Amino acid sequence: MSTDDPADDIAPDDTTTTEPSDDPVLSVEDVKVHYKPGGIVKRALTDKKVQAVDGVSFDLYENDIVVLVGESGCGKTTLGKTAIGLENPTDGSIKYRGQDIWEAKNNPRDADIEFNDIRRSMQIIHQDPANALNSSRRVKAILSDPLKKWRTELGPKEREDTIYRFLEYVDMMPPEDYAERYPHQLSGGEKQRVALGRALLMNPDVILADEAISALDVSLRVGMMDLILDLQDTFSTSYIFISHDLANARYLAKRAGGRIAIMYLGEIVEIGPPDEILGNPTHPYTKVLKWSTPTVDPDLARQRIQEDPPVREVDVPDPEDPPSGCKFHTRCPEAREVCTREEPELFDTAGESDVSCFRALESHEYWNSTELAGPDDEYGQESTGVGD
Amino acid sequence: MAIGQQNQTTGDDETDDADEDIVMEVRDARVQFGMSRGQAWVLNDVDMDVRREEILAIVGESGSGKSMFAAALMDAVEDPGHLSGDVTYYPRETEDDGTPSTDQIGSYDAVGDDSVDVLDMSDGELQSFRWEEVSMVFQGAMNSFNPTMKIKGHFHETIQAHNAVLDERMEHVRDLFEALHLDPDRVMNSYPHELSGGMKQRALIALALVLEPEVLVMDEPTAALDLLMQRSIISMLRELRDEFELTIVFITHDLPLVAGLSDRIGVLYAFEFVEVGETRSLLKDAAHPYTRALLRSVPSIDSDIDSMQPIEGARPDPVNIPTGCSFHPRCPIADDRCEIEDPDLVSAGEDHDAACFYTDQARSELSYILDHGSTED
Ligand code: SF4
Ligand code: SF4
Repeated sequence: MSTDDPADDIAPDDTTTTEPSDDPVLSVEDVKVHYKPGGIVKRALTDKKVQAVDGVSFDLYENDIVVLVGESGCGKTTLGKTAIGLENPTDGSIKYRGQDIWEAKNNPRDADIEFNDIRRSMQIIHQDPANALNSSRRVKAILSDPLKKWRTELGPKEREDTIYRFLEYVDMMPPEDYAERYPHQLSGGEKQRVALGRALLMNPDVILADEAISALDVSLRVGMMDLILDLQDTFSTSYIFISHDLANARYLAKRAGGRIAIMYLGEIVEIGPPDEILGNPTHPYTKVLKWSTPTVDPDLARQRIQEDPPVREVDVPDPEDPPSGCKFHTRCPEAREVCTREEPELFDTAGESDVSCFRALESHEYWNSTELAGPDDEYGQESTGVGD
Repeated sequence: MAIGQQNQTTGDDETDDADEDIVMEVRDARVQFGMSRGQAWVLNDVDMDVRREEILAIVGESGSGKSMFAAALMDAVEDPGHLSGDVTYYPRETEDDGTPSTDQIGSYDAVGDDSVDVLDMSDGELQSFRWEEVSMVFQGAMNSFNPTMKIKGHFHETIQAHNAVLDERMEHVRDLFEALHLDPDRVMNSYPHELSGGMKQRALIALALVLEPEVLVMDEPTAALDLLMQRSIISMLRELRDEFELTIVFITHDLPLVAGLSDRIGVLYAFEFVEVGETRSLLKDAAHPYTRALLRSVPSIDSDIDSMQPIEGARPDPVNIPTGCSFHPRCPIADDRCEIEDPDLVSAGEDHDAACFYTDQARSELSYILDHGSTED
């Protein structure tokens, strides 16, 4: 791999110069995204809204990683897309280096940073690279698009050199060979690396990786995560990583010194460094996700297979009709009466994480509230889950 | 036969234990494809005995031949692939006279004694065999429900297509639903889109079992589901096996998924089994360098992240499988012999075989760590 700073040959303008600072690259402030439910008829007949994201705030710093973890339907993809400006929030704001991104779009004259620059600075890698890459075009053509758009000063030869260099960055060697291939001539992991290379060609500050390694074999995931982390160092990129798997989330967040944010029905219910989230999970839902992560130790696995899950109900409630109070109360094994009517906020805890559960508070009405009826039948009443 | 019964024979001959109750026997199964670049091998003279009422996990990466193995069990390899070798199915002996009952054999011919030559059946025979004796659930198959038909309709259709007695079958379905924690009234009267992915997948498992097959083959059946639902289904599968005396062949790329589920694991690499063994022994004391590398590559929530390492090198090309041991280009302890000679599966412990010349060296030199620091080195 070449040792030159890739930013040298890419930096198209001054917004990309990274000066060390404690200011966040991206601030997500009390963001809400509400939809009308799907289906035309249903949409016309109802005033109900799906609260895909319901009041989420977090900051993303230089070289930072935040991994959003949750079950399908928890809003992690919607939150990620909203955070990088692909979706417009119903409420709240997204600031890129202090500039409200939708203000930049709507009132360009008052904007310090142009909306187009913001959009270029925030890229996405999808779960299924096969859909993201145009199957009728060679890798070279796929990778030359962003260059033609953002690096108009490059001639054909320089463009080709840049493409080869980026293929090398994503470990596709020899690049001259890979550049000539069509997507169907690549393995799943190779397609994903082309997608990563294409995102990096834009020299983004933030990359949203939406389940970017879930489609890969378990045995390839560590390698892909290592590549992403190495390139994070090389390019100084920050990542919002979406995953349903805590083991991957832990690996990324631990190696990058980032945080894990656990999401449930549109809200962050626990956020903190990986050791805290996994070593000392506070929210009952975090404990469920930890319990759900399979272990390869056969003794432990055999023992766990006999255990009932630490939830009163396996299926996620209908996001169109979220429970009152704490949204987790219908499944929470620790739920008490107060949880059905009062909603906990994200409390600062004694530990390093923030947790949205009354149990994180030493004194709260919760501790004197009556327990909800014990677990129903083993797997509880089932409700219709709605996919992500 | 008791589940998890230990194979008492040691020694090299792993298959000819007369005490073993085998439900399916695969011999020299080979699948070839003509490709523009040459002949591709996607299953390479594979042998496997599936024991009655065991849960056998077949673990391999994409392109290892694992789905081909599943297809071979049911003679479902699609053109232009060509399957050769032998796949034999042994129906359960009835308790009184030791001969299979006629309804177990169904409409296809038995060869010789009570065994069935799966690769020699007509299309019609295969059709009944695939539901009544060996049934299959695929990855993402939950999307194969007809969206305009209620779940009930799918069950009725299948039962009628096989000329089975509707009431009796639906009675059985109620038992299956109970074991799968599904509410029969609610689920039966729903359209597929009204159910969550996890519920659809469980309904599909029930559908695959409606005609009481002996063997259930599952290819990545939980891959599209959330982890909690995955774990719940995994637990239910063990209960299903116990309650309905099933044999389950579970195909996956995800080793941790089957660590608690399976009785035995077969590891496929480059279209061959490189290690087959009792689950605990295989995971705690893996003998093949590839299995050890695979175990080291698995992300986990409690081991040291530095102990997780990707497997070096590229996966083998089906048109150009390496000579000798197919793992040699990636194997850290390969020597000249490995480049020339192809190792056979030999004993590497009790009910545990590996295809490697240097299993002792692999065990002492190639370390990996299971969760909770229970280490192997
Ligand atoms: S607030 Fe109550 S229902 Fe919500 S997670 Fe905490 S204990 Fe459970
Ligand atoms: S036979 Fe040789 S190359 Fe093959 S796994 Fe064993 S040591 Fe490695």
